[in-house]
Amino acid sequence: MSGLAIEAEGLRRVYRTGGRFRSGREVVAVENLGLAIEAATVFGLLGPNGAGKTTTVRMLATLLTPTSGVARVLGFDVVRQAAEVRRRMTFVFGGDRGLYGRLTGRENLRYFGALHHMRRREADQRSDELLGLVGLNERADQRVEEYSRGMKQRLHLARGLMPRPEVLFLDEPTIGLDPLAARDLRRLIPMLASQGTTVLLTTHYMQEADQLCDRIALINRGRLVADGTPGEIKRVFSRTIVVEAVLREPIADPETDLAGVDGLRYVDVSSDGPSQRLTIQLAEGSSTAPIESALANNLDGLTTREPTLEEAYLSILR
Amino acid sequence: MERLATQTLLSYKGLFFWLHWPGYLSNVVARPMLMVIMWALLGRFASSPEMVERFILGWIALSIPEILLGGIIQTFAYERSLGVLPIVIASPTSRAFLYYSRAGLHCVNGLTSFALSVLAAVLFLGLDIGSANWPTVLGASASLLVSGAAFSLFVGNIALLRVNWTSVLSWTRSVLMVFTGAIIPIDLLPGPLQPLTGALPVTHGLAALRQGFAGAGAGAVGGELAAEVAVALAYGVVGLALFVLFERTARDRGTLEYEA
Repeated sequence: MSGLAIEAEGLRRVYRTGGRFRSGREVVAVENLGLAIEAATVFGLLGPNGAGKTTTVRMLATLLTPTSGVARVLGFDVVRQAAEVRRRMTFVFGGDRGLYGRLTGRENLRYFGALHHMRRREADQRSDELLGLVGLNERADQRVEEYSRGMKQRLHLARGLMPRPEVLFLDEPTIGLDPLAARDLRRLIPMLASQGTTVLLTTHYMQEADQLCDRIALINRGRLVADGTPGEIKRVFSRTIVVEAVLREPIADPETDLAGVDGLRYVDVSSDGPSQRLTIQLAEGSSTAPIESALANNLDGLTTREPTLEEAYLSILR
Repeated sequence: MERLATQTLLSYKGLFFWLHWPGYLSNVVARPMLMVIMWALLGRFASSPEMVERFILGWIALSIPEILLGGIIQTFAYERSLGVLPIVIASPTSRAFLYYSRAGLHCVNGLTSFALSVLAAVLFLGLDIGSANWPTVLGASASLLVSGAAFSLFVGNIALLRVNWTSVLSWTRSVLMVFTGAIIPIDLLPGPLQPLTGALPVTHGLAALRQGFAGAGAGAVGGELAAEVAVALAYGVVGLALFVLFERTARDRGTLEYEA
């Protein structure tokens, strides 16, 4: 499968605070957002809290009407052809709401399967398969109100996969999962993409995004600030080089010591056994020589490397 | 049909929070029986002996929308509070299917309440059923069931707008009690209000029920039964239109995922 699975042009969403009888103000959550997401890929939408990630996902998932602009999922307009979009996509939002606590895990999946036009036998076969996939086989017939938060999150994922969606929206899917369950989910996502599902993922975990996403869009205050592969984001958009300096003796205020270095953006301090490690972000094209001279005899080692996605993210947003 | 059964059964089980023996016995079995006794005694001591049968039959008719209103409004409200509403709304199931399937098993509760109210009235209050015309009584109860379900779905829509459902339930019950002739005869209501009573559920079905217990045949109450079914159809159609409209409004306002 090729082509674009998700497209957005000039997407805008404004929330109005206040009520019908009270004057309020307008909050622009998403502004002039454009997206072009290839089918059968994993696309990451990153940004700080309140950046507009969740609003964007909800507009694409037909839960929220855009104030203006156009969005299409698999070629169908999310407002005018919402029913067509709903036949082909599902979403999984983080948190433990969105399930029937009084029903068992299996009954929840059967119900959501019926909502997607699955017959009982088909829904039961699919739920058996998915309960195994998310590790809930043994708890399948237990009421969901007795599940832990992590178990509910895994059941959410199974729910999202029930109708074999062509597009899957995952909004913070690893929130609340223990490291093992999060790792299992991270293994599953590329597998879905390899089977033809387009996955749009929002997350705060940069390592997760770096590991899983074919492409990433960074949004801040509702606007797109970077869009590319994780490598492009790191190299091109951050316009940063990272210098790791290991010091023999810790220094109290490295930022002051390095204040005169041209292109200095940020200094992060950490311990490395008895020595001190400085992670210094410099603007692209800056020389490391001023660092070597500023730290002089205290310098035990100095290396230059590409920024991590997290460093690139911080550099772009800073 | 199989999907309808699955959705009806599982949404009922998942959303009906007093679906356990103490809750069910209290609400579906004990409450209607106690209410019919209470209204009969009220009629006996606070009014006149002639009012007793009026109050008994009034409550018997009201027992259906009473139980349907509570159950169906909660279905809508709990879908929101559990956070299931966005998932249900963003599913490909047709809106009509989603909307009407919510009434399914609550109708069984409505019929149970009706039957138990009649039983209590016969056993404890001496309701005379000797002259009842049962086809008419059954026809009237069926019309009350359909109109009660349509009206409850209609009112349940307000949960999509995040209105406090408990207060809506209270005043809706009060409106039915006062303006349908169940307790207060319609001709005692202020003149301008009397025509409006015909637009409420129960009014026509109750009139048919009273005549049915008095022995009238189906032909004699055909007009009332037809009027009750027409009221049900009106609430059913307008309710579905409101469901679609309120869904759109909630998507415009971004309130689908808010807790009530």
